[in-house]
Amino acid sequence: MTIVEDRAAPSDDAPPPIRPHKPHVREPTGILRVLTSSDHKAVGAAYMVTAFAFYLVGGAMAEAMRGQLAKPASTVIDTGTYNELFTMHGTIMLLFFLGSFAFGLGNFLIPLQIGARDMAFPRLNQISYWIYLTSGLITLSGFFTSNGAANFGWFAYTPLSDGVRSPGIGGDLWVAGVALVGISGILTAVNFITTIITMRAPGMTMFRMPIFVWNMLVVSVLILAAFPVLTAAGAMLYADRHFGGHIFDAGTSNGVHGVPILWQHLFWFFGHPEVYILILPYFGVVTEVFSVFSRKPVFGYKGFVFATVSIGALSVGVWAHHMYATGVVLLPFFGIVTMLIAVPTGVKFFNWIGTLWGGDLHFTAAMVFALGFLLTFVLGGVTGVIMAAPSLDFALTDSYFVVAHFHYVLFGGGVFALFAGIFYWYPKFTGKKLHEGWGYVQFVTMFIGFNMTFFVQHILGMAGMPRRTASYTVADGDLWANLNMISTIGALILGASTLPFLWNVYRTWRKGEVVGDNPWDAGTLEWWAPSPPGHGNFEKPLPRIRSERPVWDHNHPGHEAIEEEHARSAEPSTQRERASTGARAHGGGPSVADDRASAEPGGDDDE
Amino acid sequence: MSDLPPATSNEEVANDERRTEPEDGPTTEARLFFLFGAFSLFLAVVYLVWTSRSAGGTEWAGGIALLFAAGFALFFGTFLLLSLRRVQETVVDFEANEEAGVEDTDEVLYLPVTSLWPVGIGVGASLTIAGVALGFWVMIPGIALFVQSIVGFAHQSRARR
Repeated sequence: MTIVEDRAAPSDDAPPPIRPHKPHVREPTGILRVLTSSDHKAVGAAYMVTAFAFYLVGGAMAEAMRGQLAKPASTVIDTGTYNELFTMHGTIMLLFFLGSFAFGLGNFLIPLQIGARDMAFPRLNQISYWIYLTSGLITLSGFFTSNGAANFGWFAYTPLSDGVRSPGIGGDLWVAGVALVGISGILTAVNFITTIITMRAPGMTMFRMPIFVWNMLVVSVLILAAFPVLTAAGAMLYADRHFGGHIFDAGTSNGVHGVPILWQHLFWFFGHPEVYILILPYFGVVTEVFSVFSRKPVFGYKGFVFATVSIGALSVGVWAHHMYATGVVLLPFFGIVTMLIAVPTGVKFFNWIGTLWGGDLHFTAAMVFALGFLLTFVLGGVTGVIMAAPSLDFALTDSYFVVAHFHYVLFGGGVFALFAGIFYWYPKFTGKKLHEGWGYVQFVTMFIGFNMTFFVQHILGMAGMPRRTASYTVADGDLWANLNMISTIGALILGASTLPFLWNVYRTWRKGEVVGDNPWDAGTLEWWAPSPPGHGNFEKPLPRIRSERPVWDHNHPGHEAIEEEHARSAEPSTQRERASTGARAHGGGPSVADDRASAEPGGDDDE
Repeated sequence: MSDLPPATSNEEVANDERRTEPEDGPTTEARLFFLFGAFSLFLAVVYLVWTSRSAGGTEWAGGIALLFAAGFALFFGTFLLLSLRRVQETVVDFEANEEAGVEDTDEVLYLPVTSLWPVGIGVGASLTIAGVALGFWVMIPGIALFVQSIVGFAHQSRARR
């Protein structure tokens, strides 16, 4: 901190500045300070709060849709509104919630985890946030226009989304918002990459970075490959809608015509990497959580990194598996590449199980959410492999089976891991710990509600219920009616699971337990900073960075020797090799809980 | 306090503690981008050749998008290959200047605290693009806000020392 303070108020004997220097304007205070802060932690917190607000809005839309579908031939909401709701639900959850929340985590944590004082471009970071917030509001503002919000589905297929079939300002605002959020994402990705590559603390080589940082790096690379395509496609769609363009128009004029399916190619070239952009940060989150609450380093660190990089590399070659049913895509190519992605994802499951295996497990709220992630994500992954096969996809595409699949992946994979991350890092964000008991209540209701809502949708899909249908009739049979009712009850429970969380946050704000810098006895550098960290992040000199758990190394001197001994007596080969390098001790083997008992937990011993 | 020497304020440790790996050859960062670029290029070639022999004919949209992805990654990988080690050294200098309290240099790590201009740039850019849909009554204030904020941002950067 001294360094930062020195700069703000130079001492008298410092050499005079070369140029006469204009005194800085008065620093704002209060709410204006929060709104204008370029501190990465303020921007990160703003991202997370805003994204969570969008989650509540998108969730309310989902509840309305489930209300409509609870019974056959119901008239809770009309068809047009239903179309707007599913379009905006998808858009908000995918573009304004899940990925943006990950940006918030990244903004807050990346500089801390690599031992930097801020992001590489703090004010660019702020610009990204404000573009993100306003683009979300622009997209949502469609609801206040006379024709309502966009209603052509979140992937806006042409020709449905063109100016003839979907006229109205709501669609235009959707295009504008989506193009803008693409720009915001690109700026954030540039910032992340620059920060990670140039701002690491001495000793923090790439292979000593926390897995979360690695995953955010790969995500940022994917954003740079995918988001420009989205923004460009949005601009083209807008040209078609308003400036008389014919890019996606099949109608022939003067012997030439546009290509409607081009939109699908461009959209999914963004859209599929986007799925990995949404999920990879949360892979990073659960990896940190598993490692900390198993009291073990990540099992197979390098393998995990290579698996992440492989998922990233493969994800640009799978876009048209969303388009099998169009009949004009190269089925074997996309089938093969899509199935290949299951391989590195499987590697990750081995890493996670290996990290847990033989560990000193602590079932905190963060840990149970991460375990919930593991269970639900594997189900979503399995149905993903089913639909990667074109022959099966022809039968299942655009049915509720798809809806069930991607909710298992994105809600089961994303949101469970997101809450794991919130419970894990909340002490770092605020200095206070969320109540564990309310966390368990939330987890149990969320887990039951989630599986009730979405598991039955697999069966509905196989029974032929199409997605995006606003209603069904009694003639569709008891199976449809019963399963839809179960799904709706599940959705209510799932929605209600947010209440314990909101109460938990309020309760913690009022009378939460104030904890030290490192309440979980975690090993990565963010736990070296005070909670919450001040401007400039670190108050103490960093510990020596010799592994991906420098704080653990510092707080548990000699743990490597103990682990080596355990490894030697318990399991052969790999652990021994690694431990003997002295640089880091990876792999399985019993934990060092016995050693921990004698050591002071946390970084408090330094104060 | 630890009995280990502190990492950032000790020059000897700072020199000992490299940020880049491995010691010679392309760094991990450059390899990451090369790997991504090479694989995208490979996919692009396979995709273009395969579709050209399929019934539907060559599918250009995806092929070109893949080539762009490959080009971007290889370009950035090359940049890292050529300049990363030098950039990393400059970062060390920033830190060293900080620690030594050197004031008469531009080469210090500057951490802005607050700034109103990014808010203006973000809101202005959004209003401008929304104005394309909503009309000039939104677009013109948007452009004005955007330009004013860019100018303010630039002045603020110059005024910082």
